[in-house]
Amino acid sequence: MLDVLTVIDGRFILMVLAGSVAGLFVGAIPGLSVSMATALLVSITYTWEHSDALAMIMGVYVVGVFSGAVSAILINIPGAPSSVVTTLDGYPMSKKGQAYKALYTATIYSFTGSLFGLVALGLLATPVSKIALKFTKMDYFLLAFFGLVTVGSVSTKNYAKGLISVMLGLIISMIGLDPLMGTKRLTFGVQNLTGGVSTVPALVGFFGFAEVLSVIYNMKQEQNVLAMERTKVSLKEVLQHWKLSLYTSAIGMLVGALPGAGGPVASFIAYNEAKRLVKDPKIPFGEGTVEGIMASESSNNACIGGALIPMLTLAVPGDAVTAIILSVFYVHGLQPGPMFIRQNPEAFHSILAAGIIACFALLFLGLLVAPRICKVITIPKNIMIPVVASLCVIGSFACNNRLFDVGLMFLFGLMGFLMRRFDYPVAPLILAMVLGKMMDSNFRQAVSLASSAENPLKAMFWHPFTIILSICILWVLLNNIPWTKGWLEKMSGRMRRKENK
Amino acid sequence: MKNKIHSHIVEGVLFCGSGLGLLSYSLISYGKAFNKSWAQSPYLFPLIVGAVMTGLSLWLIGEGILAAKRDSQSRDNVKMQLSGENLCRVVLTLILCGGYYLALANLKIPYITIGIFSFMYTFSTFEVATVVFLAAMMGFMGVRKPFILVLVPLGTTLFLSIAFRMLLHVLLP
Repeated sequence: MLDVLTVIDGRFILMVLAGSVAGLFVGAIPGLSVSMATALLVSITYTWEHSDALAMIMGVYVVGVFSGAVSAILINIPGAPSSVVTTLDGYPMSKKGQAYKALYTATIYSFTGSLFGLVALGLLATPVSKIALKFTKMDYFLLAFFGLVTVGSVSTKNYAKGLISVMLGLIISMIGLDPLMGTKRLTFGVQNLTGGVSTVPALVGFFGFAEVLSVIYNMKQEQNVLAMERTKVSLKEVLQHWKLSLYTSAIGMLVGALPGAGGPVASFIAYNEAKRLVKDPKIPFGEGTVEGIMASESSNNACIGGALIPMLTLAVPGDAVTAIILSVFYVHGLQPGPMFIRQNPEAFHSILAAGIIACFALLFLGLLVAPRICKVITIPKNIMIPVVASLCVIGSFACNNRLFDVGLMFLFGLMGFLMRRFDYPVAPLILAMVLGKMMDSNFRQAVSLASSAENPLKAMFWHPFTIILSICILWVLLNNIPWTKGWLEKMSGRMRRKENK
Repeated sequence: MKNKIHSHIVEGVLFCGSGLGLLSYSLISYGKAFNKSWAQSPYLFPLIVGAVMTGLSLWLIGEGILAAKRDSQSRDNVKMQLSGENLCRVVLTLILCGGYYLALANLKIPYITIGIFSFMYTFSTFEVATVVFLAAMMGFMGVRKPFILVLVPLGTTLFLSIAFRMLLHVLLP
């Protein structure tokens, strides 16, 4: 763990701090998102040293996830999807004149949650890498497939739509030269598509420009910011829930490590657990209790470390932002996977160090700056949105210096907007797009190797991890397809009745 | 209301078309390819994705048919439609963005450098097009104060240009 210190110098700290300040504003201003900011950063930082790029992106990521709570508490609009649960108790507290206490609690538990997740990343990444070394080609394919079927299930109410979103991402990933033989696929004679669809214009389009169009579509009256009175809050009083916060952080870390689940799911689970465990809260949940904010914030911030574990060790991102960070690795010629920590220890240490520095920046910014940015988070949308649109143009142009990518970005933006309107989640599409080439090459290599074996099916599936992953995929599918779900529920009901008898 | 087709059916038909399109593309391309082994073919994965996409779209169509039969579901259906007035704003934004794109692609303004003491500032097509685009977009989004319509586009473009072109050495359109 002490090796982490070797990558830290003044420049590195400055990069993290710059990213953290950007993350504070991006996360707190509704309409701007961490995914959008990291997507734009990929295009800006691609010429930088990878440690500088990772430092800035980690700053934006860690502080951006926290600062979604600022607008959730002050104006009842979560700045990030993972802060939705924070609004349940944060805004009622603000209405009672306890906005400062709510923000203070959110800051302290976001800090502990983030730190918990990053320490878990430091401790678990190497053992997970060792296990991943035993994975076969089929295992990699199945692992990525497991991630996609899971994200399809948690990101929308309609499972078919989640899976269609996954398939759209896979189709986009297939455009260009195929990863094994270099055959052109789905380019339809367009020369600019031969190299494939660049990740950056797609990310900027789906997250940035789609957001611009959604805001324009939903133009509403500006929200009023509740007054922030600086009241005295005792640290002892806030920290009295530390045991529960460790539990909710562990939930966040584990949910974050599941490919595709991410902060919103973690905070909902943690909130329900806190509700179940705290029998007699001073104030009921949903009416402004500190425990509610604690559960939501500690879990969604612990997701950061959790989501980075599969991304670094298996090249399977845990959420949309880690999918974008994965593309940063690819842009910089780094290949995450089981050998990553052994071959690129400095990149791994950069991520850990940047994350930990960003945690302290979060504490500082959350306690001192966040209470003072109430007015900034209500910048009129009719001024902010045009600026974001021009940033999207710069971001999509900068990665390959061609206007074709700007056109693609507009197209993906429109597609992302329509997907949101018709309830198709964007996160599965992005994960599938990033994982598509890896899935394609591993699947074909597995099929190709097995085709020469005596029993091809046995050669492909008769391995311990392959069996476990296949069962997991089957379980997720059966639990989400409406017809089989009903059948499973009947079965478990019968079993319970038998047990009771 | 009764005659309205459920949105899932329309979406399902659209995706079914894409799935079948991908399936036929993979089969035709495989047929034309020199290598006749599916195990090594670059069209195996698109074939599977196309087949799954077709299956999923049939699932969606089935859901749409079932939902259309239930009266309560038709309300959700109406809620999902795009509202005309709001959609008009989106279309106009896309037209503005299209204009911005065309301006960036076709306008050729030579680089002009202004020296203010020792500070040299260079501007070109991007800066001019961005000022006009920002002012137009803000005007479209309801900003009416003239000083905001002038100052914000100029200030933002200046900031973006200095930050990206001069400090971060990012090439601009």
